[in-house]
Amino acid sequence: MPIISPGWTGHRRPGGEKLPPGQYLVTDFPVLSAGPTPRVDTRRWQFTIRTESGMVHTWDWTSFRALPSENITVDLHCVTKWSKFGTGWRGVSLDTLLAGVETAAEFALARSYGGYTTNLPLRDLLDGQAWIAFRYGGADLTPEHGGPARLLVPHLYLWKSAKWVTGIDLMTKDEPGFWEQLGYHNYGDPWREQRYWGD
Amino acid sequence: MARAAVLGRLNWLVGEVTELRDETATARTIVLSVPGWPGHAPGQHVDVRLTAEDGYSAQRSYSIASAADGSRVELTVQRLPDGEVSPYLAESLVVGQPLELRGPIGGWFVWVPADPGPVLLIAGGSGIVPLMSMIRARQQVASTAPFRLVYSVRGPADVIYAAELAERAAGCT
Repeated sequence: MPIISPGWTGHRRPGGEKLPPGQYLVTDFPVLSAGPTPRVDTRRWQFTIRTESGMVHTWDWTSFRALPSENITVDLHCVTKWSKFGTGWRGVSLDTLLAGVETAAEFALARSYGGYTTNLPLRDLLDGQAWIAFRYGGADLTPEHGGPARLLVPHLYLWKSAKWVTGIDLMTKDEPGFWEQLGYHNYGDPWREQRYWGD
Repeated sequence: MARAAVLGRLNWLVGEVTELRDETATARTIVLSVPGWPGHAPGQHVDVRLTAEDGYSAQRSYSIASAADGSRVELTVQRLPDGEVSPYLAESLVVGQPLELRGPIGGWFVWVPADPGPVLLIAGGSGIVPLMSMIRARQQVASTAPFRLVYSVRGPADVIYAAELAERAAGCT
């Protein structure tokens, strides 16, 4: 039984049914980072998919931007409790990037400039669920929000959408990433409120 | 800064408010006794949950202000004018009241007392709270690690822990 806080009623806002449990709506875009913001020049930027057999697929900025991209409008849910509705991005679907990649792996580990990592099942990157996004709100993605390009996996808590992404390793064994080693949930489904270990 | 992982499942705990202390006109320290509190590293935070009579609930994260001290946990909450949770915590909560929380959370922005290296703490406003936990922990373990605090506020009246900071600064050599 939860403890009732006498006299507290809370703010029930319109759109509340679109909010996962424990979340509240914001209209700004908070920035939370575990370290300094990497500044990555697109002339040196690379994105690499490495399979479990060691096969490497690499894109530079020019070849990445030559891939078909799409507009994406999604709700974001951060484990620190804020959610933001209807954010507009442009990005390349992971389906496109993974189309020519031969793999039997079930797990993925995203790697970022600056050393950040986050893990997720490979199936969560497929079927129109994940993108490498390079524009936000009609402008090039700024370094604060993960530019030049970040992973966008909006159906999971936002720490899975690695900023400054530079690669994805495909693996037959799951390997916890940065926050996943530090007490945060291995999968991170906001609708099941999987914030921390054991949730 | 270093890692201090949360171990195991984070269950909701029920703390009891044992003391309330106004720090500024808008910030209040809530002293809790939390049976089953596992201890924490300076810099970690908790999730607090409020529940209305009809079952509606809201959660927010708050930094821990105190150094580890058994079941005693201090939070300092800055009231946001149209906040959903902070006005209740900073104004309506009374001594003796139960409060749901879970933690400690976050093992990255923590100070490790065994680390003798120099530390520069930089805070704005209520951002002082997790750093105060580090400052208090440093004294608790009699660490000689050099600490410097840079603290920015909107005005003199907004200094949280003003008396304690002045006292500690006077004690610095």
